[in-house]
Parts: sequence; C-alpha cells; structure tokens
Amino acid sequence: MNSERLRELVDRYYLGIAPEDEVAELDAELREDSHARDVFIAAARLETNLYDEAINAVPAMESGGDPVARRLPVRAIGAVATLARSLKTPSTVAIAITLIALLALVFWPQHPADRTFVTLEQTRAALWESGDLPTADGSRLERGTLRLAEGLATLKFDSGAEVVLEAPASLILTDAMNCVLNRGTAVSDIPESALGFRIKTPSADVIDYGTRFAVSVHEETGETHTHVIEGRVQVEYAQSDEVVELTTGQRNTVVGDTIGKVTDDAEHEHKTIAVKPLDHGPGWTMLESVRDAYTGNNEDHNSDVLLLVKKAIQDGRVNRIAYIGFDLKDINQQHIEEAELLLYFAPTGWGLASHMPDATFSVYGMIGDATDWDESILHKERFPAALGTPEVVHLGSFTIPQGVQKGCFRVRTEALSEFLRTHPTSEISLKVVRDTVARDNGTLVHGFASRRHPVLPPPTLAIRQQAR
Amino acid sequence: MRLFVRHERELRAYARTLLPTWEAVEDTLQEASVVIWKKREQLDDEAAFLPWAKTIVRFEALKTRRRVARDRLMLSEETIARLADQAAESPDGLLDRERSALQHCLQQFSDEQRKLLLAPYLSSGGVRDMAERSGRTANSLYKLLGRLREKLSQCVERRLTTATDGGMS
Repeated sequence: MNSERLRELVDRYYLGIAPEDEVAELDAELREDSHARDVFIAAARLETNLYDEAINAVPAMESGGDPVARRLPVRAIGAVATLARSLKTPSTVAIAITLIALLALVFWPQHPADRTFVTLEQTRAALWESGDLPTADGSRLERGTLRLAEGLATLKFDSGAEVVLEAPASLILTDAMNCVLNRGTAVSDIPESALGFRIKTPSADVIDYGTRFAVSVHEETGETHTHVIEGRVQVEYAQSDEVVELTTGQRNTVVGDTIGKVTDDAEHEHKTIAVKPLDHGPGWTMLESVRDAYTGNNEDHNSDVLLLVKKAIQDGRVNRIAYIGFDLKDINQQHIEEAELLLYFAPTGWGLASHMPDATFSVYGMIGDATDWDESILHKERFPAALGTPEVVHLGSFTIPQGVQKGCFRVRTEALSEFLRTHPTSEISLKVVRDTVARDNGTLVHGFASRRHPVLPPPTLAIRQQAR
Repeated sequence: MRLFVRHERELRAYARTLLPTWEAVEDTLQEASVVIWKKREQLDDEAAFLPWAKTIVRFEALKTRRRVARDRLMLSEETIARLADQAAESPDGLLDRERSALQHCLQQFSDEQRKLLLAPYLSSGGVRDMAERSGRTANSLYKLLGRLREKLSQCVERRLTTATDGGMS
C-alpha cells in the first residue's frame, strides 16, 4: 500500500467515516506492516492533541474563558457515561449527550457586536443597484446582497479570499468562506488561508483549493462557467453529488441538468456567457462578434484575448486599431429601430494609466472594399479603411475616464442604427480607434475583450427590431 | 491520582489507538482511573507508572471494545494487540512536543478552517452540522477536512523535525 492511501484510510478511520471495506483494508495493512502501525499510532497522537485543542477552544472562544468550564464537556461526558452505566439506563447517556451538545452551543462563539467579514476594497466606475449593503470604498460588509450594475468591485474576505466582481452581477455574501453568485462574473484569488473558499451558483458549487479562477453565471439559464487561471478547483453539480476537478487552464460549463466535460485551453475556445446588459429588455437581439482583430503589431506587446487600442502619436504603425465583424443574417436590417455596441474593457498591462487623461474613442463603420479583411492578416501592417477616406463613417464616440481600465463601454447612436439599416450586406465591419493621444511615450494601451476572451463578453451588438 | 492527571493525555492517546471513538476512549479512561485508584498499592515506583497504567488502559479498552462491538466497525483483536504493543513504547514527551507544534500550526489556518478542523471533536455530528449550516454536502466538507488535516499533519511533522534539528545544534 502506498503511503498516500494509508494516510487516507487512517484519516477516514479516525474521522469515523470509513466504510466496512476500508476498515478491513486498513486492518490487514496494520496487522502486517509495523511502519503502517507507526503511522496509525502517530495519527492517534495528533487526534488526541486536536481533541484537547477542541475542548479548550470552546470556552476560550467565549469571553473570559472560565477555567472550570474548560474541561467541562469532556469531564461531563465521562462522568455521565459512568453514572449512566451504574444506573443501567442507556437512555440517560442520550439525554446527557444532548445536554452537553446544548452546552457546547452556548459556549460557541458569537459576536453580536461585529458581524462583518468582508471589506469592499475598491470600486472602478461602479454603479450599484438597490442592495442591502453599503457600497462606499472601504466599507465593512456583513451578510447581504451586492448588486453591481456597472463597473468592477474588489471584495476582500476576512479569510483572505479576494473576489473581483464584474458587472452586471449579483452576489450574496454568506460568510468569510462562502458567497453565492446569481449572475455576472467573479474572478477570485485565493490564498492558502482561504483554502476551500466556495462560490455557489444556481447550478453548481465551485470550491477553491488555492488558485485564481473565474466563475460566470448567466442569470436566466443559471449556466455556470468556470475557468481556472492557475491552481485547482472543484465544481460540484448542485443537483447531485457529481463533481469535476479543474486544474490550470481548464474550463467547465454546468448547464441545466448536465455538468459539462472538462476542456483545456489548447483544445477549445471558451464560450463566454452572453451577459445580458441591464437596459436591454425583451425585443432586443444580442449578437456577438464573429471576427475581431487589431492592427499595429509589436512583437512582444500582443494579446490573444484582448483587442488592443492605442494612439501614441498622430499617425504611425505603432498605433493600434481594433476591427470587429458582425453577421446580421438573422436580422431584418430594414427593421432595425435601435442598436448599441458594447465593448468590455480590461487592463492590458502596458503603459501608464497615470499618463493617460480621459480617453475618447470613436467607432467607425466600414464600407466598400474596406470590409474585406480577415483576422489572420490584420496583425501585419495593414490598416483597412484609413480615416478621412470615403470608406469610413463615424458612428459614435465614448470616453473612458482617467484611471479606469475596466468596464463595459457603449455606443448607442442613430448613426449606428442607420448604418446597420442601410448597409448593403449582412456582414458588418466596425473599427475602434482611440482619439486621445497620451502625453508622452509609454502611453497606456487600452484593450477590450475579443471573442476569444475567457471570461468577459465579446464585442456585442444589441439590436432592437420593429415589432411586426 | 496526581500521576494519573499528569499522564492522562498520554493514556488518552494510547486508548485512542485501541478504540474506534472518543466516547469509547473517555469511558475506558473513567473505568481505568477507578482501577488505577484501587490498585495504587501495587505500584512502588513512580517512574513505572505510565507502562503500568497503559496495561490497565489496554485491559479496560478490550472490555469496552466488546461492549461497543455490535454497532461499530472495528479493527480486529489481533491488529489491536500489535498496535497496543507498539504504542506502549511511544517515546516520552513526544505527545506534548507535538501539541505545541500543533498549536503553532493551527495559527496558520483561518478561523473557519480551524472551526472545521476541531468540529469532529465537539460533537459526533459536528461536521455534518457545519455542512448543514453552510449549505454544503457533508461529503464535500469531509473532503475539505481531509485536505486540511493533511496540511496540518505535514506542518506538525515539519515543525517537529526543525525543532529537533535546532535543539541538537
């Protein structure tokens, strides 16, 4: 028997959860192997020490720590057992044990004064919906619900777990080791102290064993997507005992009645969740980009999952411009009443945010030959649809405030709707450029999620059509 | 009884090796303490107390085993006999050194984790109760507990090795 199996059997035996076959297996090993007996005897010492710690911890955790009460449970168990046997009435034992359990409950620590266990460390461009918790940066939070309509919020649990909540999201704080994500995305960083940190979702429980991972929940379907960035997590299917383990780079989706298979980065692209923006009700169709890429290749400055956008100097090949393609084949373009483009920005890690003032971005529609581009060639030195030519139409602009690098930014203009309505084909090409030039070199590179991003939604076109 | 109190923890660990539950251990120690009291005249050397008391605990443990055999999964008598012989030779003071290592190691866990680590000893359904309160399955909590216990025991071992090395130099 290998030592791992032996330790497991010993541990389960002492916890009283080993079934008959495991006890038999352990028995055979202990009978034959003196080293196994050493392990078993050492475990009994650890058990004894833990037992003593537990007995002492009960009153120690309440204020004062009365020395008489310290050994009370154990003394009482022993004394009552002796007494019960002398009386020959086994039921007394049961009654006494119940009493002791009650005593233990009374001694169990309660902190009515401070029930908080989470600090709302910082928010970025956050907009909160009604919830029952304070939302100022630095607030200490107790049990309750956070509803983030826009932006990002970083939560630090007292267990050490850090969770970045990405809007739109709804999170119930349960305790320092547990929370419930009902919609949106939570990216967690779990140190050793929070081993076992759990995020419950409507369809699964994701339990962390020391790692960074992302969980996304689609509000309407309850679909849970889990992606392990580093480390190991366990995904438990809510409706049965089914469990899968994910390690670095692996993903899993739990949908409805099924716990999906585990996939690796290399093999599959992650299907991001179409997070439904808050103000798109019934009647809206959400289209995800079918192709996207950016120009301005710089050998060591690339991203596979973000579309990089930058303007360093007025013109030049180091500038980066993003291109996005949508397919409107399932839309009756003439009936488009309203349209909105949603881009989910995330930090790229390049450039200095402090050197970047409020940044304005413009979205252009491409027409004619300019629409003829594909993802593979864009990294080269091609800039389809140069600005100022008849091949581009300005559709709208948005501004990202200084210091903000994350969040959903939108363009919702009549020019965009008109462009989609009148475009001669169903294939739509848009380009996104940054208008604002940074103060000097080392300028910030902005980036938004491409359709390959593991967690953030891809560029999305929300379209409302005329009711027929 | 002074000797019994001084060695109670060693005797408890010894009894734990031989018995399937803490309840059985406490019963056995109660019985053994009575026997030790009654037979105290037999002992003329204090230094011989622990081995002598262990023999009594072993005998009482066998009686307890027979009593609880019906409703408990237990190791065979032959295995227990071998364990009893081997555990009788445990080095003095090891249990206490391990205790202080354990106290140090427990500090490295969060409050929640400590609570879980100690839950099995506070009531028989401690872990199950915790599972219910936190909305987890008992299965998953036991799995987590297993990992925490593994970490804890590694920490204790490591600390003991370091302390021993340090003490030698």
